[in-house]
Amino acid sequence: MKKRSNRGFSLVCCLLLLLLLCAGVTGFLSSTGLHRSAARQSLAKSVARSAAESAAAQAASLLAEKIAAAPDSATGWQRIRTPGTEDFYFEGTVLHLHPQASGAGPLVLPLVSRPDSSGDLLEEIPSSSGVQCLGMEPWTSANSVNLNRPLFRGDQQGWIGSPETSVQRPHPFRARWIELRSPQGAPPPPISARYAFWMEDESFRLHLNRIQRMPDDGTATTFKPPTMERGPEPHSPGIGPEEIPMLGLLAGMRSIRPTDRGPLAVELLTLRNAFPSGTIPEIRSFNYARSGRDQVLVGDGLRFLGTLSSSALNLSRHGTQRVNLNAALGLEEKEMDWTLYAPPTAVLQRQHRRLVETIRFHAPRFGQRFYRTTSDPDRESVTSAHQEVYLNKIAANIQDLIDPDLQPTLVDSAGHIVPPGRPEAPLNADAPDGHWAQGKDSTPCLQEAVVRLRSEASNSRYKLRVDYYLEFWNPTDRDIYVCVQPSLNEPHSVGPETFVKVSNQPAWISTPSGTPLRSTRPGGQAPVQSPARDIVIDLCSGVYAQGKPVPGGVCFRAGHATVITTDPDYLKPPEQKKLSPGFSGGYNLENIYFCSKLLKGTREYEGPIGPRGTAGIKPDFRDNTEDYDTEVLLGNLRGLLDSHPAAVAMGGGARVTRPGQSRDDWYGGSLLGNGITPSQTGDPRTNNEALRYTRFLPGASTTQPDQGRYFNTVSAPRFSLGHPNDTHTNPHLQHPWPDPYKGWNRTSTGTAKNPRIAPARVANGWTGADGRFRTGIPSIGLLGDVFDPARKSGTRGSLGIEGSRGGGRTLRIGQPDDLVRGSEPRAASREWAAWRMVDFFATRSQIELPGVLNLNGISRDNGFALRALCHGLSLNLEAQASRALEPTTGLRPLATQLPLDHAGPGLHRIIRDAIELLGSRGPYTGCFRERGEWSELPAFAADSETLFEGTRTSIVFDHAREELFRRTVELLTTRGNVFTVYCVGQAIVPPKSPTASIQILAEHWLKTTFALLPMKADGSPFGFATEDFNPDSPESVARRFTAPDYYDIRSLARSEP
Amino acid sequence: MGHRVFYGAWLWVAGGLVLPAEPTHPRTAPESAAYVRLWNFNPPEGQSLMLSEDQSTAPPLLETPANWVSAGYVPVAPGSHRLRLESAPEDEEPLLRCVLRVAGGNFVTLLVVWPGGTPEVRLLDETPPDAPLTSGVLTVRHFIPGAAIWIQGPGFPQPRAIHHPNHQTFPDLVRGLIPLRLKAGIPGLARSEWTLQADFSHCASQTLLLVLDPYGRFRPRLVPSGQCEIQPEEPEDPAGERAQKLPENLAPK
Repeated sequence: MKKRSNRGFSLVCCLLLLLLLCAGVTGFLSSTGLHRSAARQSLAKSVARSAAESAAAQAASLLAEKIAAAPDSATGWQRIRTPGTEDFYFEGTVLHLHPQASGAGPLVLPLVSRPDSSGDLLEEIPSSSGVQCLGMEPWTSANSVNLNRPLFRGDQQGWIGSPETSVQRPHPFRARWIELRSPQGAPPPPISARYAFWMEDESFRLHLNRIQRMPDDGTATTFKPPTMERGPEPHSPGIGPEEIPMLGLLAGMRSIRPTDRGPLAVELLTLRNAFPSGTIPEIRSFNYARSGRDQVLVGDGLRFLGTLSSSALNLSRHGTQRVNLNAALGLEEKEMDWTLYAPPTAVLQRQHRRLVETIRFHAPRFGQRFYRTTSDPDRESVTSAHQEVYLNKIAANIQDLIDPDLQPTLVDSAGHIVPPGRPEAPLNADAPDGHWAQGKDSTPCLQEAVVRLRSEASNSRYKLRVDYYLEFWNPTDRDIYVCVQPSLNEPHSVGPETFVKVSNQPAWISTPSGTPLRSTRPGGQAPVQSPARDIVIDLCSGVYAQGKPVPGGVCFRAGHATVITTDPDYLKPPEQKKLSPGFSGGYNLENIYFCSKLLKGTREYEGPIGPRGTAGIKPDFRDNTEDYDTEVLLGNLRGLLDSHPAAVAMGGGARVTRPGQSRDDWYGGSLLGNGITPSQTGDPRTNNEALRYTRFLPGASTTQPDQGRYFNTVSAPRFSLGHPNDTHTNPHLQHPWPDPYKGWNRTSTGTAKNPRIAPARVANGWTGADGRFRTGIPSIGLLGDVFDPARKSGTRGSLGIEGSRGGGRTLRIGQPDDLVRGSEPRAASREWAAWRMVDFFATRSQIELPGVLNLNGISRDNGFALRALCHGLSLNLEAQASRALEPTTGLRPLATQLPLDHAGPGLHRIIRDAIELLGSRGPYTGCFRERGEWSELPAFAADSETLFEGTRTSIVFDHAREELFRRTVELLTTRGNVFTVYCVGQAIVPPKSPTASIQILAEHWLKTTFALLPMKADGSPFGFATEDFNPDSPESVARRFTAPDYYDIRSLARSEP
Repeated sequence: MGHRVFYGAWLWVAGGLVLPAEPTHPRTAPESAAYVRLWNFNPPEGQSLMLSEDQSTAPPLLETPANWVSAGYVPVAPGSHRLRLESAPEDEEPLLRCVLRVAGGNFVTLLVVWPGGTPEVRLLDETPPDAPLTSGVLTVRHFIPGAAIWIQGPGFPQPRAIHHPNHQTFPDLVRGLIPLRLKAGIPGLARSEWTLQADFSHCASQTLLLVLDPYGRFRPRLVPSGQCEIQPEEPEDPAGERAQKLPENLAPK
């Protein structure tokens, strides 16, 4: 049998085995390759992630370090174009640094990755270097990356979001690559990765979880429906982002139909409230809102404009925590019975000194505002003594603005608060050691005084009646009562046992040589100069008005002149007919009070004419020194309210010259508002800065014409008792204030006006929308209501400085300050600008202020956020469009949504101004350094219709522009403390030849939001919850005014696209 | 002001001669009348004084309460006057008697001081010189016991304390408005200051009286010395015709 060969089988088997082996090896090799590739990819991804993480960490630490070193820094929004290119530029947040060293110019640090020549991250460089801050090489697609590229096809917003006005969708935000070299390899180490980051200050955006938020304190019912338009102050004082209406957010979004905005606002608020704790977790959550049947992608539209976490720090430019004024005065917003407010003098003294030391620390030359002797605004020309006086005056005025009583703070010449007590004598400008300051509180001001002299003479006897008419003006917006009125909630009463005292009355003589008159009765009162003749009038009891008793005592009506008289005959029509023919002004019976508790003997006299009395009787006005003038004082048991050392400066010779004659003479004068030298420039609005009277009658009147805004003509015995006097323009006004203000409570025809536009608005606490009275001030912008004792210099003249009252005009906060060169950001005079005070004073103690808006980002969104912030504001207007007698007044809605190129008035004018001011050609080089600088916007003093039609801001009587400032300043900052870094990291293989392209192995995108928290060196949080520092201890002051030692970085959110 | 020659006015008091404490001026051509005033500072118990012609029942020539700074000049006939100083008309015995001899055009002040509680009369001759003064003269008279006063002002030397009862004369002052600043250290009072403006443009010679006012406050008074170009008194204007006519829109309501 033939044996069959099995070689074929063996071959097949071998082949199969080989095949299997090959398959196994191939699989193994393939698996190995895959594993190697995966490992390589993982490594690359890890490198890319590390690069991105490095970018985020580097950005955060860079910022923390810079801000700690430069507390004066501010963030802004800037666009810097690479020369010769159109598409490659930087746009985003920059940090402006202002070195304190003299001569050093401002520095700028774009918060974006950009390498220097050695490839390291570029540090800050001088602002003047322009494009150099982008690095030495032009930006290209090879060396920079767009961090806002589309996330999907058709994406209009990108990762960061896009401005509505941008043509490119999404709008590019570029950063330069920073290359990282591998630690291994032959030198030079090969480039293995790169990263780029772009960082943004979140305070440029609106906080979507904070706007129009119901308060958590159970007062939700006080808020209006979600579609609300904001009411006037104080319902919407502008103290938190909670007041920003959701409707304001939607009003600026073009993609939403106007008719849809109201319902959509309701829908968004409802939607937000449906989330836990009433906050949306991400902006896209708003995409679930529906307008009618349509789903509206509001969330996508808000990616660029909104944020879920933004805040700023309550720090001054020194880096110290701002001093909470309310806490420093022991009045931190709380409900209290204002009638019980009577702190001990030692407490008031410490509060006063705290204010003085705070100003001194933050603005050491702030006193240069006072009594300047040079016309150069930047030159220091004020003595240290006068600077000290000024600080004390300002501090007293701030105390009086805020504290709930109506009692002016008196500071003596040693800087000590005068303890309470019944005042005996008026302050006197001729006794300059008397007082440094008389604070300006809600007290009536003495502004006109008249004496009525009725005399009779027979051959040997005389009869004399001396009566006074003292006119007090209430320049505030609230009625001031003498007695507490049970029906009133807010502070309204000047205090216990308020009285008017007339003292130092002139003697009467019977001969030209000065023989004094005698009394009939032995020991009786004769009209000689004597304290026994002093008249004290109780203003609370025994008061009559229009013939009827007034049980509630005297009321000084807001905006009205109130006359207190000792003359019981003032009401009788026959008496009015018998008035002296020189009495041409008439008087207003409506506002005249007769106080009946006046005894015969203090105002009526009779007796023999005298041994040689051939010339009748006359008051002794021969002395040419002021002390013969009658002194008038308004006071109570707590102290002095107002006074004048020479209230009736009479000249001429009222007298009975022959037997059988009788006379009825009227003499008087009104306070000088302005003097004839610059040093005497007072305030036309309040007319109460001066301490001397002018005379109605010839004599001193020709050399010292009445410079008061509410004047009486020279040489004319002209009175207007009880009339507001406010519709006259004084032709003698030689140094008027720039505001040609005419009238505020009544027009020339007597039409009543809004008392809220009063010139002297003293807060004394505030009543919220819930009707509850609270102490303290809600907005730091109210410092614009502080009276400013600043005076120009000149000869001392008749108006003393040391003894002057607290100032005539209010501080220029919310309008350009005329004592500084506002157009020059580095002018020395800016240190003593009035608006500096809002930098170092605050109204709250918390260190973080969530939801505030960064002014310096106004060009980022063309004012979108500011428009939303101001949406629905109606401002109280008092303006004078022309020379018309009638001022324009009333509550006017501010137009917030008009386009920037609109010619009419509205908020866009302010926005346009700010953009220009902060622009590359503007003087502010990109940023406001402090929130008060917003006052310097030219729009706030423009000679055109800026805010409202028919009015010019330059002559808007402060209140509209100041109100706008007041209701926004608490919501404004110049630097936030929450930032978002958009990072990308790549693992790369660098090109092997110049023509080859880079090989990207892996890429990682990372967005991280973090907050910078101020810390102390011992690791505890920085901040002062109370203001209890001892102002008299340098160590305590230094401790209070320290800056944080470092900033901790707290991560708030991390995400990937 | 270096004249020490007593020429114009003489005063004999109770048989003794009281020399004038002040420098005097040469007498000019006689005027029709002489002028006399009476000052009475710091009397015990604050009594008033009356100066009458002795042996006459006519009303007093001068009557001055205590510290009455407004006492003005009274014209008297040139010649000798026997005068009687009394504190009240009903007093039987006058405080003192004196003889005053004045010439026409004389301006004299009879200053009554009370050392030890008894009155002394001093004659201050304030007769202006023939030629108009080209500079101002300020005489400071101190009537605050125990007080030290410092005066500062343009044209004044470095301030040195003036003590009671000294007086001091500051010549060669500008004929214009001069601001003065006074500081006083007064026993029982806080350190006091006072400012005033001395106007030498119309009245070249003035006296600054350092006194307290009826309220006990430091209130210096400036009074003219001798004849001044005093502004005429304002004539009566019963019809108010001098009132300025106002523009219509400024007319009183």
